[in-house]
Amino acid sequence: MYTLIKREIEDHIIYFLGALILSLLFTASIAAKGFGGEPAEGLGIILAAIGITLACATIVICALGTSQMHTDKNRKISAFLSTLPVSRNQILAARVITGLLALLVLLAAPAITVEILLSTLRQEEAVYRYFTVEIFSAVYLLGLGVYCTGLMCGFSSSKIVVTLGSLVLSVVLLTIILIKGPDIETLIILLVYVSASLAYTWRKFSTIPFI
Amino acid sequence: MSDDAIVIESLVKYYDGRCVIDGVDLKIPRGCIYGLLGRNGIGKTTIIRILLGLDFPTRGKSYILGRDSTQLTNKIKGRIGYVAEGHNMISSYKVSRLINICKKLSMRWNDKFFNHLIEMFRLPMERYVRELSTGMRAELNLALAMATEPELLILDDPTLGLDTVARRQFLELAVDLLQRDGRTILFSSHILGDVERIADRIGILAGCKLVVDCGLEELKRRIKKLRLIFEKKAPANLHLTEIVNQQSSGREMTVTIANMDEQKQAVINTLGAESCEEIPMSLEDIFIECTRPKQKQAVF
Repeated sequence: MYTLIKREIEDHIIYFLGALILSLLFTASIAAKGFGGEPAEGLGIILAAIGITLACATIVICALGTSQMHTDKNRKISAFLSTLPVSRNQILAARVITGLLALLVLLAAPAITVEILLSTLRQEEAVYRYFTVEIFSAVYLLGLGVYCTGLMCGFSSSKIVVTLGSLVLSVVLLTIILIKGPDIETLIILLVYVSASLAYTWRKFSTIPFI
Repeated sequence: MSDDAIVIESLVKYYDGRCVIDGVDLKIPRGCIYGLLGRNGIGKTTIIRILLGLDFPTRGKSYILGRDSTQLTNKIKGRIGYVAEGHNMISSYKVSRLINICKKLSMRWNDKFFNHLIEMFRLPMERYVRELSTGMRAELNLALAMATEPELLILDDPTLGLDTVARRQFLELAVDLLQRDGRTILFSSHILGDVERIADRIGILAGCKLVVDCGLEELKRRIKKLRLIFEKKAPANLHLTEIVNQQSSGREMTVTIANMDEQKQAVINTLGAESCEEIPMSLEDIFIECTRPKQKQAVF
Protein backbone atom coordinates (compact mmCIF):
# COMPACT_ATOMS: atom_id res chain seq x y z
CA MET A 1 0.00 0.00 0.00
CA TYR A 2 2.83 2.36 0.87
CA THR A 3 4.32 1.84 -2.60
CA LEU A 4 1.01 2.67 -4.24
CA ILE A 5 0.53 5.84 -2.16
CA LYS A 6 4.12 6.90 -2.83
CA ARG A 7 3.57 6.33 -6.55
CA GLU A 8 0.41 8.46 -6.52
CA ILE A 9 2.14 11.30 -4.66
CA GLU A 10 5.15 11.23 -6.99
CA ASP A 11 2.89 11.22 -10.05
CA HIS A 12 0.94 14.22 -8.74
CA ILE A 13 3.70 16.02 -6.92
CA ILE A 14 2.82 19.28 -8.67
CA TYR A 15 -0.53 19.38 -6.84
CA PHE A 16 1.18 18.74 -3.52
CA LEU A 17 3.65 21.53 -4.21
CA GLY A 18 0.76 23.81 -5.19
CA ALA A 19 -1.10 22.90 -2.00
CA LEU A 20 2.01 23.50 0.09
CA ILE A 21 2.71 26.90 -1.49
CA LEU A 22 -0.91 28.00 -1.04
CA SER A 23 -0.90 26.75 2.52
CA LEU A 24 2.29 28.66 3.37
CA LEU A 25 1.04 31.83 1.70
CA PHE A 26 -2.24 31.80 3.64
CA THR A 27 -0.54 30.90 6.88
CA ALA A 28 1.95 33.71 6.44
CA SER A 29 -0.74 36.27 5.57
CA ILE A 30 -2.99 35.19 8.45
CA ALA A 31 -0.09 35.31 10.87
CA ALA A 32 1.28 38.65 9.63
CA LYS A 33 -2.05 40.49 9.52
CA GLY A 34 -3.69 38.71 12.42
CA PHE A 35 -0.91 39.14 14.93
CA GLY A 36 0.16 42.54 13.62
CA GLY A 37 -3.11 44.56 13.39
CA GLU A 38 -6.08 45.36 15.61
CA PRO A 39 -8.14 42.40 16.97
CA ALA A 40 -11.23 43.32 14.91
CA GLU A 41 -9.12 43.76 11.80
CA GLY A 42 -7.43 40.45 12.57
CA LEU A 43 -10.76 38.56 12.51
CA GLY A 44 -11.67 40.11 9.19
CA ILE A 45 -8.34 39.01 7.78
CA ILE A 46 -8.91 35.49 9.06
CA LEU A 47 -12.33 35.21 7.42
CA ALA A 48 -11.05 36.65 4.14
CA ALA A 49 -8.09 34.27 4.17
CA ILE A 50 -10.38 31.32 4.89
CA GLY A 51 -12.55 32.33 1.93
CA ILE A 52 -9.57 32.52 -0.41
CA THR A 53 -8.20 29.26 0.98
CA LEU A 54 -11.54 27.66 0.28
CA ALA A 55 -11.64 28.80 -3.34
CA CYS A 56 -8.03 27.80 -4.04
CA ALA A 57 -8.42 24.49 -2.23
CA THR A 58 -11.45 23.77 -4.37
CA ILE A 59 -9.51 24.25 -7.59
CA VAL A 60 -6.35 22.40 -6.53
CA ILE A 61 -8.15 19.44 -4.98
CA CYS A 62 -10.70 19.06 -7.75
CA ALA A 63 -7.89 19.16 -10.31
CA LEU A 64 -6.02 16.50 -8.34
CA GLY A 65 -8.99 14.11 -8.35
CA THR A 66 -9.68 14.65 -12.03
CA SER A 67 -6.03 14.29 -12.94
CA GLN A 68 -5.66 11.05 -10.98
CA MET A 69 -8.47 9.33 -12.87
CA HIS A 70 -7.84 10.95 -16.24
CA THR A 71 -4.10 10.23 -16.23
CA ASP A 72 -4.77 6.70 -15.08
CA LYS A 73 -7.04 6.04 -18.03
CA ASN A 74 -4.80 7.71 -20.61
CA ARG A 75 -1.61 6.04 -19.44
CA LYS A 76 -3.27 2.70 -18.62
CA ILE A 77 -1.74 2.78 -15.16
CA SER A 78 -4.38 0.69 -13.37
CA ALA A 79 -4.43 -1.75 -16.29
CA PHE A 80 -0.73 -2.37 -15.69
CA LEU A 81 -0.88 -2.35 -11.88
CA SER A 82 -3.78 -4.81 -11.91
CA THR A 83 -1.58 -7.43 -13.51
CA LEU A 84 0.67 -7.26 -10.45
CA PRO A 85 -0.40 -8.58 -7.04
CA VAL A 86 -2.50 -5.49 -6.41
CA SER A 87 -6.29 -5.30 -6.18
CA ARG A 88 -8.50 -2.61 -7.67
CA ASN A 89 -9.57 -1.66 -4.14
CA GLN A 90 -5.97 -1.07 -3.13
CA ILE A 91 -5.31 1.12 -6.15
CA LEU A 92 -8.39 3.23 -5.41
CA ALA A 93 -7.70 3.36 -1.67
CA ALA A 94 -4.16 4.61 -2.35
CA ARG A 95 -5.62 7.25 -4.64
CA VAL A 96 -8.15 8.49 -2.08
CA ILE A 97 -5.55 8.49 0.72
CA THR A 98 -3.37 10.66 -1.52
CA GLY A 99 -6.29 13.09 -1.88
CA LEU A 100 -6.77 13.18 1.90
CA LEU A 101 -3.06 13.87 2.36
CA ALA A 102 -3.11 16.69 -0.19
CA LEU A 103 -6.03 18.27 1.70
CA LEU A 104 -4.11 17.95 4.94
CA VAL A 105 -1.08 19.62 3.38
CA LEU A 106 -3.32 22.45 2.22
CA LEU A 107 -5.32 22.99 5.39
CA ALA A 108 -3.24 21.88 8.36
CA ALA A 109 -0.98 24.92 8.65
CA PRO A 110 -3.74 27.56 8.18
CA ALA A 111 -5.95 25.71 10.68
CA ILE A 112 -3.22 25.62 13.32
CA THR A 113 -2.39 29.28 12.72
CA VAL A 114 -6.03 30.32 13.00
CA GLU A 115 -6.41 28.36 16.23
CA ILE A 116 -3.33 30.03 17.74
CA LEU A 117 -4.51 33.42 16.53
CA LEU A 118 -8.00 32.95 17.96
CA SER A 119 -6.72 31.73 21.27
CA THR A 120 -4.60 34.87 21.43
CA LEU A 121 -7.32 37.28 20.32
CA ARG A 122 -10.62 35.91 21.70
CA GLN A 123 -9.78 33.21 24.13
CA GLU A 124 -12.29 34.45 26.73
CA GLU A 125 -15.34 34.21 24.40
CA ALA A 126 -17.07 30.80 24.27
CA VAL A 127 -18.42 31.43 20.76
CA TYR A 128 -14.91 31.08 19.34
CA ARG A 129 -14.08 27.92 21.27
CA TYR A 130 -14.93 25.50 18.46
CA PHE A 131 -14.62 28.02 15.62
CA THR A 132 -11.52 26.44 14.07
CA VAL A 133 -12.78 22.87 14.39
CA GLU A 134 -16.19 23.71 12.92
CA ILE A 135 -15.00 25.81 10.03
CA PHE A 136 -12.05 23.66 9.07
CA SER A 137 -14.10 20.44 9.35
CA ALA A 138 -16.53 21.97 6.89
CA VAL A 139 -13.69 23.14 4.64
CA TYR A 140 -12.02 19.72 4.83
CA LEU A 141 -15.26 17.93 3.99
CA LEU A 142 -15.94 20.39 1.21
CA GLY A 143 -12.44 19.74 -0.13
CA LEU A 144 -13.09 16.03 0.08
CA GLY A 145 -16.42 16.42 -1.72
CA VAL A 146 -14.79 18.44 -4.46
CA TYR A 147 -11.98 15.89 -4.68
CA CYS A 148 -14.54 13.09 -5.10
CA THR A 149 -16.25 15.18 -7.78
CA GLY A 150 -12.91 15.34 -9.55
CA LEU A 151 -12.52 11.56 -9.28
CA MET A 152 -15.99 10.98 -10.73
CA CYS A 153 -15.54 13.45 -13.57
CA GLY A 154 -12.11 11.97 -14.33
CA PHE A 155 -13.81 8.81 -15.62
CA SER A 156 -15.19 10.74 -18.57
CA SER A 157 -13.09 10.79 -21.71
CA SER A 158 -14.45 14.21 -22.72
CA LYS A 159 -12.31 17.08 -21.47
CA ILE A 160 -15.30 19.45 -21.61
CA VAL A 161 -17.37 17.14 -19.39
CA VAL A 162 -14.42 16.72 -17.05
CA THR A 163 -13.82 20.45 -16.66
CA LEU A 164 -17.38 21.76 -16.68
CA GLY A 165 -18.74 18.88 -14.61
CA SER A 166 -16.12 19.37 -11.92
CA LEU A 167 -16.62 23.13 -11.82
CA VAL A 168 -20.42 23.03 -11.68
CA LEU A 169 -20.53 20.43 -8.92
CA SER A 170 -17.81 22.25 -6.97
CA VAL A 171 -19.67 25.57 -7.22
CA VAL A 172 -22.84 23.89 -5.92
CA LEU A 173 -20.96 22.55 -2.92
CA LEU A 174 -19.24 25.86 -2.32
CA THR A 175 -22.58 27.69 -2.47
CA ILE A 176 -24.08 25.38 0.14
CA ILE A 177 -21.32 26.11 2.60
CA LEU A 178 -21.40 29.87 1.88
CA ILE A 179 -25.18 30.14 2.31
CA LYS A 180 -25.64 27.83 5.26
CA GLY A 181 -22.34 28.33 7.01
CA PRO A 182 -20.37 25.53 8.68
CA ASP A 183 -23.19 24.17 10.86
CA ILE A 184 -24.06 20.57 11.58
CA GLU A 185 -26.57 20.35 8.70
CA THR A 186 -23.91 21.47 6.23
CA LEU A 187 -21.52 18.89 7.64
CA ILE A 188 -24.15 16.17 7.23
CA ILE A 189 -24.91 17.23 3.65
CA LEU A 190 -21.20 17.19 2.83
CA LEU A 191 -20.74 13.82 4.55
CA VAL A 192 -23.61 12.32 2.56
CA TYR A 193 -22.20 13.78 -0.66
CA VAL A 194 -18.69 12.47 0.08
CA SER A 195 -20.02 8.98 0.94
CA ALA A 196 -22.21 8.84 -2.16
CA SER A 197 -19.47 9.99 -4.51
CA LEU A 198 -16.94 7.62 -2.95
CA ALA A 199 -19.41 4.74 -3.31
CA TYR A 200 -20.03 5.70 -6.95
CA THR A 201 -16.31 5.98 -7.66
CA TRP A 202 -15.61 2.64 -5.98
CA ARG A 203 -18.42 0.91 -7.88
CA LYS A 204 -17.32 2.38 -11.19
CA PHE A 205 -13.65 1.61 -10.59
CA SER A 206 -14.44 -1.97 -9.54
CA THR A 207 -16.46 -2.74 -12.63
CA ILE A 208 -14.76 -0.73 -15.37
CA PRO A 209 -12.76 -2.85 -17.84
CA PHE A 210 -9.08 -1.92 -17.91
CA ILE A 211 -8.29 -1.50 -21.57
CA MET B 1 -6.45 -28.80 -6.20
CA SER B 2 -7.41 -28.92 -9.85
CA ASP B 3 -4.83 -30.17 -12.36
CA ASP B 4 -5.87 -27.43 -14.72
CA ALA B 5 -4.15 -24.08 -14.53
CA ILE B 6 -6.86 -22.46 -16.62
CA VAL B 7 -10.51 -23.42 -16.98
CA ILE B 8 -12.97 -21.55 -19.17
CA GLU B 9 -16.63 -22.55 -19.15
CA SER B 10 -19.16 -21.37 -21.75
CA LEU B 11 -17.54 -17.96 -21.97
CA VAL B 12 -19.52 -15.32 -23.83
CA LYS B 13 -18.51 -11.73 -24.38
CA TYR B 14 -20.38 -8.95 -26.13
CA TYR B 15 -18.99 -5.50 -26.90
CA ASP B 16 -21.64 -2.90 -27.71
CA GLY B 17 -24.07 -5.60 -28.80
CA ARG B 18 -21.48 -7.34 -30.96
CA CYS B 19 -20.57 -10.92 -30.04
CA VAL B 20 -16.80 -11.37 -29.71
CA ILE B 21 -16.68 -14.71 -27.90
CA ASP B 22 -19.51 -17.20 -28.14
CA GLY B 23 -19.48 -20.09 -25.70
CA VAL B 24 -15.80 -20.89 -25.47
CA ASP B 25 -14.81 -23.87 -23.30
CA LEU B 26 -11.16 -24.52 -22.59
CA LYS B 27 -9.00 -26.38 -20.10
CA ILE B 28 -5.24 -25.91 -19.91
CA PRO B 29 -3.49 -28.48 -17.72
CA ARG B 30 -0.61 -27.46 -15.48
CA GLY B 31 2.77 -27.69 -17.18
CA CYS B 32 1.27 -27.26 -20.65
CA ILE B 33 2.47 -24.74 -23.22
CA TYR B 34 -0.72 -23.71 -24.92
CA GLY B 35 -0.73 -21.72 -28.14
CA LEU B 36 -3.89 -19.73 -28.75
CA LEU B 37 -4.21 -18.88 -32.42
CA GLY B 38 -6.59 -16.66 -34.27
CA ARG B 39 -6.72 -13.82 -36.72
CA ASN B 40 -6.33 -10.24 -35.50
CA GLY B 41 -9.30 -9.00 -33.51
CA ILE B 42 -10.84 -12.44 -33.13
CA GLY B 43 -10.92 -12.36 -29.31
CA LYS B 44 -7.59 -13.81 -28.12
CA THR B 45 -6.75 -10.75 -26.06
CA THR B 46 -10.31 -10.53 -24.74
CA ILE B 47 -10.08 -14.09 -23.39
CA ILE B 48 -6.76 -13.30 -21.74
CA ARG B 49 -8.04 -10.05 -20.27
CA ILE B 50 -11.09 -11.83 -18.85
CA LEU B 51 -8.84 -14.51 -17.39
CA LEU B 52 -6.76 -11.87 -15.64
CA GLY B 53 -9.80 -10.00 -14.31
CA LEU B 54 -9.04 -6.92 -16.42
CA ASP B 55 -12.37 -7.34 -18.21
CA PHE B 56 -15.60 -9.09 -17.31
CA PRO B 57 -17.48 -11.82 -19.19
CA THR B 58 -21.03 -11.24 -20.39
CA ARG B 59 -21.79 -14.86 -19.47
CA GLY B 60 -19.83 -17.90 -18.43
CA LYS B 61 -17.00 -18.47 -15.99
CA SER B 62 -13.25 -18.58 -16.08
CA TYR B 63 -10.86 -19.86 -13.46
CA ILE B 64 -7.15 -19.29 -13.19
CA LEU B 65 -5.04 -21.37 -10.80
CA GLY B 66 -8.28 -22.62 -9.27
CA ARG B 67 -9.77 -19.18 -8.59
CA ASP B 68 -12.60 -17.35 -10.30
CA SER B 69 -11.06 -14.70 -12.57
CA THR B 70 -13.41 -12.02 -11.30
CA GLN B 71 -12.23 -12.61 -7.74
CA LEU B 72 -8.49 -13.03 -8.09
CA THR B 73 -6.62 -12.49 -4.84
CA ASN B 74 -3.22 -10.82 -4.70
CA LYS B 75 -1.76 -14.18 -3.71
CA ILE B 76 -3.01 -15.74 -6.95
CA LYS B 77 -1.92 -12.74 -9.03
CA GLY B 78 1.55 -13.10 -7.52
CA ARG B 79 1.78 -16.53 -9.14
CA ILE B 80 0.96 -15.21 -12.61
CA GLY B 81 3.30 -13.46 -15.02
CA TYR B 82 1.81 -11.44 -17.84
CA VAL B 83 3.36 -10.03 -20.96
CA ALA B 84 0.74 -7.75 -22.49
CA GLU B 85 0.00 -7.21 -26.15
CA GLY B 86 1.83 -4.07 -27.28
CA HIS B 87 3.79 -4.14 -24.00
CA ASN B 88 1.68 -1.47 -22.39
CA MET B 89 3.62 -0.59 -19.32
CA ILE B 90 3.51 2.85 -17.71
CA SER B 91 5.16 4.75 -20.52
CA SER B 92 5.71 7.98 -18.58
CA TYR B 93 8.00 6.25 -16.07
CA LYS B 94 11.71 5.72 -16.28
CA VAL B 95 12.72 2.08 -16.65
CA SER B 96 14.37 2.10 -13.22
CA ARG B 97 11.24 3.48 -11.55
CA LEU B 98 8.98 0.96 -13.23
CA ILE B 99 11.26 -1.88 -12.16
CA ASN B 100 11.36 -0.53 -8.62
CA ILE B 101 7.56 -0.39 -8.39
CA CYS B 102 7.13 -3.88 -9.84
CA LYS B 103 9.73 -5.23 -7.47
CA LYS B 104 8.06 -3.69 -4.43
CA LEU B 105 4.58 -4.79 -5.41
CA SER B 106 5.54 -8.35 -6.36
CA MET B 107 5.33 -11.16 -3.84
CA ARG B 108 8.42 -12.91 -5.15
CA TRP B 109 11.34 -11.34 -6.95
CA ASN B 110 14.47 -13.11 -8.15
CA ASP B 111 16.93 -10.22 -8.17
CA LYS B 112 19.85 -12.27 -9.48
CA PHE B 113 17.89 -13.64 -12.41
CA PHE B 114 16.33 -10.27 -13.17
CA ASN B 115 19.70 -8.49 -13.18
CA HIS B 116 21.05 -11.22 -15.46
CA LEU B 117 18.20 -10.58 -17.90
CA ILE B 118 18.63 -6.82 -17.73
CA GLU B 119 22.35 -7.17 -18.47
CA MET B 120 21.66 -9.54 -21.30
CA PHE B 121 19.05 -7.22 -22.80
CA ARG B 122 21.20 -4.15 -22.14
CA LEU B 123 18.18 -2.14 -21.09
CA PRO B 124 18.89 1.54 -20.40
CA MET B 125 17.66 2.12 -16.86
CA GLU B 126 17.52 5.89 -17.02
CA ARG B 127 15.45 6.16 -20.17
CA TYR B 128 11.69 6.55 -20.17
CA VAL B 129 9.67 3.50 -21.14
CA ARG B 130 8.10 5.46 -24.01
CA GLU B 131 11.59 6.04 -25.45
CA LEU B 132 12.33 2.32 -25.72
CA SER B 133 11.99 0.50 -29.01
CA THR B 134 9.24 -2.13 -29.34
CA GLY B 135 11.87 -4.85 -28.98
CA MET B 136 13.26 -3.32 -25.80
CA ARG B 137 9.79 -2.93 -24.35
CA ALA B 138 9.10 -6.59 -25.13
CA GLU B 139 12.31 -7.58 -23.37
CA LEU B 140 11.57 -5.39 -20.37
CA ASN B 141 8.06 -6.79 -20.13
CA LEU B 142 9.35 -10.36 -20.32
CA ALA B 143 12.05 -9.66 -17.72
CA LEU B 144 9.50 -8.13 -15.34
CA ALA B 145 7.17 -11.11 -15.78
CA MET B 146 9.95 -13.68 -15.37
CA ALA B 147 11.52 -12.06 -12.30
CA THR B 148 8.50 -13.05 -10.22
CA GLU B 149 9.11 -16.73 -11.07
CA PRO B 150 5.47 -17.26 -12.05
CA GLU B 151 3.75 -20.64 -12.07
CA LEU B 152 1.63 -19.47 -14.96
CA LEU B 153 2.93 -17.20 -17.67
CA ILE B 154 0.54 -15.51 -20.06
CA LEU B 155 2.10 -14.08 -23.21
CA ASP B 156 -0.35 -12.06 -25.27
CA ASP B 157 1.09 -11.72 -28.74
CA PRO B 158 4.51 -10.90 -27.26
CA THR B 159 6.28 -10.70 -30.60
CA LEU B 160 3.84 -8.23 -32.15
CA GLY B 161 5.76 -5.39 -33.75
CA LEU B 162 9.14 -7.13 -33.59
CA ASP B 163 11.18 -7.73 -36.72
CA THR B 164 12.03 -11.29 -37.73
CA VAL B 165 15.43 -11.36 -36.02
CA ALA B 166 14.17 -9.77 -32.80
CA ARG B 167 11.18 -12.13 -32.83
CA ARG B 168 13.40 -15.18 -33.17
CA GLN B 169 15.71 -13.96 -30.41
CA PHE B 170 12.80 -13.20 -28.13
CA LEU B 171 11.23 -16.61 -28.67
CA GLU B 172 14.48 -18.50 -28.24
CA LEU B 173 15.05 -16.74 -24.97
CA ALA B 174 11.46 -17.23 -23.87
CA VAL B 175 11.56 -20.94 -24.70
CA ASP B 176 14.84 -21.32 -22.84
CA LEU B 177 13.47 -19.58 -19.78
CA LEU B 178 10.10 -21.24 -19.88
CA GLN B 179 11.24 -24.81 -20.25
CA ARG B 180 13.40 -24.70 -17.13
CA ASP B 181 10.79 -25.34 -14.48
CA GLY B 182 7.88 -26.85 -16.33
CA ARG B 183 5.71 -23.80 -16.05
CA THR B 184 2.27 -23.46 -17.58
CA ILE B 185 2.22 -21.04 -20.45
CA LEU B 186 -0.64 -19.54 -22.39
CA PHE B 187 0.78 -18.02 -25.53
CA SER B 188 -1.40 -16.11 -27.93
CA SER B 189 -0.25 -15.19 -31.39
CA HIS B 190 -1.29 -14.87 -35.00
CA ILE B 191 2.21 -15.87 -36.12
CA LEU B 192 1.97 -19.60 -36.66
CA GLY B 193 5.67 -20.29 -36.74
CA ASP B 194 6.03 -18.86 -33.23
CA VAL B 195 3.32 -21.07 -31.83
CA GLU B 196 4.52 -24.16 -33.71
CA ARG B 197 7.97 -23.67 -32.24
CA ILE B 198 6.97 -23.61 -28.59
CA ALA B 199 3.43 -24.91 -28.07
CA ASP B 200 2.55 -28.48 -27.25
CA ARG B 201 -1.18 -27.85 -27.42
CA ILE B 202 -3.09 -25.56 -29.73
CA GLY B 203 -6.37 -23.73 -29.77
CA ILE B 204 -7.72 -21.92 -32.81
CA LEU B 205 -10.33 -19.20 -32.46
CA ALA B 206 -12.55 -18.55 -35.43
CA GLY B 207 -16.00 -17.08 -35.76
CA CYS B 208 -16.19 -16.28 -32.02
CA LYS B 209 -15.63 -19.95 -31.16
CA LEU B 210 -12.73 -22.17 -30.24
CA VAL B 211 -12.81 -24.43 -33.27
CA VAL B 212 -9.64 -26.39 -32.47
CA ASP B 213 -8.34 -27.52 -29.09
CA CYS B 214 -5.86 -30.37 -29.18
CA GLY B 215 -2.18 -31.29 -29.34
CA LEU B 216 -0.14 -30.06 -32.28
CA GLU B 217 0.66 -33.54 -33.60
CA GLU B 218 -2.87 -34.72 -32.93
CA LEU B 219 -4.19 -31.76 -34.89
CA LYS B 220 -2.07 -32.66 -37.88
CA ARG B 221 -3.24 -36.25 -37.59
CA ARG B 222 -6.91 -35.47 -37.14
CA ILE B 223 -7.43 -32.97 -39.91
CA LYS B 224 -7.19 -34.19 -43.49
CA LYS B 225 -7.45 -32.41 -46.78
CA LEU B 226 -8.52 -34.56 -49.73
CA ARG B 227 -8.59 -33.84 -53.43
CA LEU B 228 -11.25 -35.86 -55.26
CA ILE B 229 -11.31 -36.06 -59.06
CA PHE B 230 -14.56 -37.19 -60.67
CA GLU B 231 -15.25 -38.55 -64.09
CA LYS B 232 -17.90 -35.89 -64.71
CA LYS B 233 -18.78 -32.77 -62.72
CA ALA B 234 -17.94 -32.92 -59.04
CA PRO B 235 -20.94 -32.82 -56.67
CA ALA B 236 -21.63 -29.40 -55.18
CA ASN B 237 -22.07 -30.67 -51.65
CA LEU B 238 -20.66 -33.48 -49.62
CA HIS B 239 -23.02 -34.54 -46.86
CA LEU B 240 -20.66 -35.35 -44.03
CA THR B 241 -20.21 -34.13 -40.48
CA GLU B 242 -17.20 -32.07 -39.36
CA ILE B 243 -16.36 -30.63 -42.74
CA VAL B 244 -13.98 -27.75 -42.14
CA ASN B 245 -13.96 -26.54 -45.71
CA GLN B 246 -15.24 -27.72 -49.05
CA GLN B 247 -14.83 -26.44 -52.60
CA SER B 248 -15.94 -27.85 -55.93
CA SER B 249 -14.71 -26.71 -59.30
CA GLY B 250 -15.32 -28.65 -62.51
CA ARG B 251 -14.31 -32.26 -61.96
CA GLU B 252 -12.36 -31.46 -58.81
CA MET B 253 -13.51 -31.28 -55.24
CA THR B 254 -11.25 -30.36 -52.31
CA VAL B 255 -12.56 -31.11 -48.88
CA THR B 256 -11.01 -30.58 -45.45
CA ILE B 257 -12.44 -32.88 -42.82
CA ALA B 258 -11.90 -33.01 -39.09
CA ASN B 259 -11.63 -36.29 -37.18
CA MET B 260 -11.23 -38.37 -40.31
CA ASP B 261 -12.08 -42.02 -39.68
CA GLU B 262 -13.10 -45.17 -41.55
CA GLN B 263 -16.78 -44.25 -41.58
CA LYS B 264 -16.11 -40.91 -43.22
CA GLN B 265 -13.76 -42.57 -45.69
CA ALA B 266 -16.52 -45.06 -46.53
CA VAL B 267 -18.96 -42.22 -47.25
CA ILE B 268 -16.40 -40.57 -49.52
CA ASN B 269 -15.83 -43.86 -51.34
CA THR B 270 -19.54 -44.06 -52.18
CA LEU B 271 -19.20 -40.85 -54.23
CA GLY B 272 -17.38 -42.84 -56.88
CA ALA B 273 -14.48 -40.48 -57.47
CA GLU B 274 -11.86 -41.48 -60.01
CA SER B 275 -9.10 -40.63 -57.60
CA CYS B 276 -8.82 -39.57 -53.98
CA GLU B 277 -5.55 -38.00 -52.93
CA GLU B 278 -4.55 -36.63 -49.54
CA ILE B 279 -2.91 -33.20 -49.59
CA PRO B 280 -0.30 -32.72 -46.84
CA MET B 281 -1.10 -29.80 -44.54
CA SER B 282 1.18 -27.58 -42.52
CA LEU B 283 -0.07 -25.76 -39.43
CA GLU B 284 -0.46 -22.68 -41.58
CA ASP B 285 -2.70 -24.59 -44.02
CA ILE B 286 -4.77 -25.91 -41.14
CA PHE B 287 -5.04 -22.45 -39.65
CA ILE B 288 -6.19 -20.94 -42.94
CA GLU B 289 -8.75 -23.71 -43.45
CA CYS B 290 -10.11 -23.28 -39.94
CA THR B 291 -10.31 -19.52 -39.98
CA ARG B 292 -11.70 -19.15 -43.48
CA PRO B 293 -15.19 -17.58 -43.23
CA LYS B 294 -17.91 -20.13 -43.80
CA GLN B 295 -21.54 -20.64 -42.93
CA LYS B 296 -21.16 -23.35 -40.36
CA GLN B 297 -18.02 -23.92 -38.34
CA ALA B 298 -16.83 -27.42 -37.59
CA VAL B 299 -15.57 -27.74 -34.02
CA PHE B 300 -13.10 -30.45 -33.17
